[in-house]
Amino acid sequence: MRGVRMPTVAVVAALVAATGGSAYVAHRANRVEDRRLLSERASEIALILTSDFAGLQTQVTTMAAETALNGADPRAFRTASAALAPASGGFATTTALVRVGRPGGSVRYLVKTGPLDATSAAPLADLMRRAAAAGSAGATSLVLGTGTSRVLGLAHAVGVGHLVVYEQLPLDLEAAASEASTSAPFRELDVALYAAATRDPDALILSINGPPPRGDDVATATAPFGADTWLVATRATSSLTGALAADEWWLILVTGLFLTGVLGFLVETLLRRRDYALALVAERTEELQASVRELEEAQGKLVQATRLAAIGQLASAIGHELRNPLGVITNAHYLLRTAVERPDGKADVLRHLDTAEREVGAATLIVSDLLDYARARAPVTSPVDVLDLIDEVQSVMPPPPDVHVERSDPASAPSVLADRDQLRQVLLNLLSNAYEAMPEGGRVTIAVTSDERTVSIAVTDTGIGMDEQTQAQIFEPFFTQKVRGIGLGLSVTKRIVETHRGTIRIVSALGAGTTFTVGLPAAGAEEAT
Amino acid sequence: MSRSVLVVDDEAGMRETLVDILTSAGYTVTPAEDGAAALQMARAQPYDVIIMDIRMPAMTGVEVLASLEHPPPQVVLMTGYAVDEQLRQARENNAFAIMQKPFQVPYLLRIVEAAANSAA
Repeated sequence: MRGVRMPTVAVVAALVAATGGSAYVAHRANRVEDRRLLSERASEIALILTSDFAGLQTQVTTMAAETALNGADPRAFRTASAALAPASGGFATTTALVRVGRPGGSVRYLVKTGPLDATSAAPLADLMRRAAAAGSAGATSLVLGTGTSRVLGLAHAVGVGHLVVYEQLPLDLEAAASEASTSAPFRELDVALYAAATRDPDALILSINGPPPRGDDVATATAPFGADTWLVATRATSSLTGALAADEWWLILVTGLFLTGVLGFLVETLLRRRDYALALVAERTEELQASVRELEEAQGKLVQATRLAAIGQLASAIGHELRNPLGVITNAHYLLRTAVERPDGKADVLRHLDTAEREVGAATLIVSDLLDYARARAPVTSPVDVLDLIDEVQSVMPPPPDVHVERSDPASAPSVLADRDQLRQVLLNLLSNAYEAMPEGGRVTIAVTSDERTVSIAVTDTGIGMDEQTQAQIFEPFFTQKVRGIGLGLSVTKRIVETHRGTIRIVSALGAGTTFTVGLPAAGAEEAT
Repeated sequence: MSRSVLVVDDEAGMRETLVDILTSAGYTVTPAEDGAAALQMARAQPYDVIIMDIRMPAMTGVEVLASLEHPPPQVVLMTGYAVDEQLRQARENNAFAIMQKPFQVPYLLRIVEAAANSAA
């Protein structure tokens, strides 16, 4: 099993990073929003709770005002306080009228409607002093006692003779909490109210929905209470922005990871499929190359075979042609041997020598043809007077007895840029072919025409002619219609003409004769092109 | 009586030397330049032996052999280059011998002698 592809790893890593990042950002945004909402709720709750306690403050303030009106008469105070702060609703309320000495001075309780906590004498005295110092600014407050015997003490300056009225009421934390927790603002929240500006456990007035919240995710809000500042601390038990928003980050995470898995699988599948396709292509390519190699080998063998066949064809054609003169020479040799032994044999000897010489010439011609064909010499060109060359060829090769040769020459004497020897051979070949095409005799016409670019030499015979198939094959090497000859003459002729950048055309009809036309670039036309 | 031989070859050199050789060997020799002429002459007059080239224009030696009437004279064929098909046809038509050019003259004379004896 091959390992997971690198691109897949990269895609998965990128998607995991993106998913994690998105989830983190969503989580952060949600937390920020949560804190903002919590902070707002804390302020709201502070307002509600302090207004709940505003009645108490009013009570104390009113009591102070009445005490002042009554001239701080203890008896009047007792009556007034009983009316203003009745021990109703399960609250055992204690009130007191206190004289506070000069700032920092002693505290003396003039009237007490109930017991005061003796253990709290010092904090109480301090509360009284603070109230006296606060004057008409408002009540001061303090939580006293521990456990179930906790009380909230409120003090307010009377404004006369350093007197302070004091009211204390027990704190029933559970009752207050259960009452408050049912109201809307407290849902989903742990709330604590402190009668102090800090989260002092001793100053805890009430705690709703659970113990007083602690930790970093607690929002606080302050609220003025008389001359004091109270504090609300709250913490959300669940997200304030809603379950969906709170869960958004892990929804993003789960969805992202799921999509990552799907995409990773998809990418891996596609990669594996691509790898498979590539492997298949490579395999096919290898097969194809193997086929090509086999084909090349086969072709090589074929070329070799063709070459051997060509050599065989050449060898048999030459061998065949040479056997005839060799046979005659062998015979002549035998005859010479017998003739020289006869006293009157001289005439016969000469005759047989002639025969042998003729056959040697025939054999030489065959070998020459072969060498002409084999030795494709590049032409060495010079301006050649065409009419002059035709005169020369005619004198070298006079026609057979029944053949008449006619000329059709132009007024001017055209010349071509050619290899004179090679061009002579071309004309000799054409002329001898024309002669041989007319075993019954006839007429050969050599016609020369020229323009600025081309000189054309047409050799026409009135001989046997040839059909179309023969015309198509006539220039192929070893093709011959003659009984004798190896079939290289026209092949060599064509090659010479083509190396001179010329053309050779054939027009023929069976029984009517043949015209070979050779076109060669005129001397001077060479420079023009 | 001298035995008669018809020599058929389109090539003058071969034809003439064969005439000379066979004449000096004691045969009555008649030359022919091509197959058609040979066929005509063989029909006009019986020869003991016909010695004939295979490759000739218009009519090959094998074709002449196939066209000869019964009873055929003994025919010796000559060839420079043996084409299988022609050899097969020559044998089917009971050629007496097929000689590959160039041949040694004494060998030729023994073949012609054997053919002439066989004909007689």
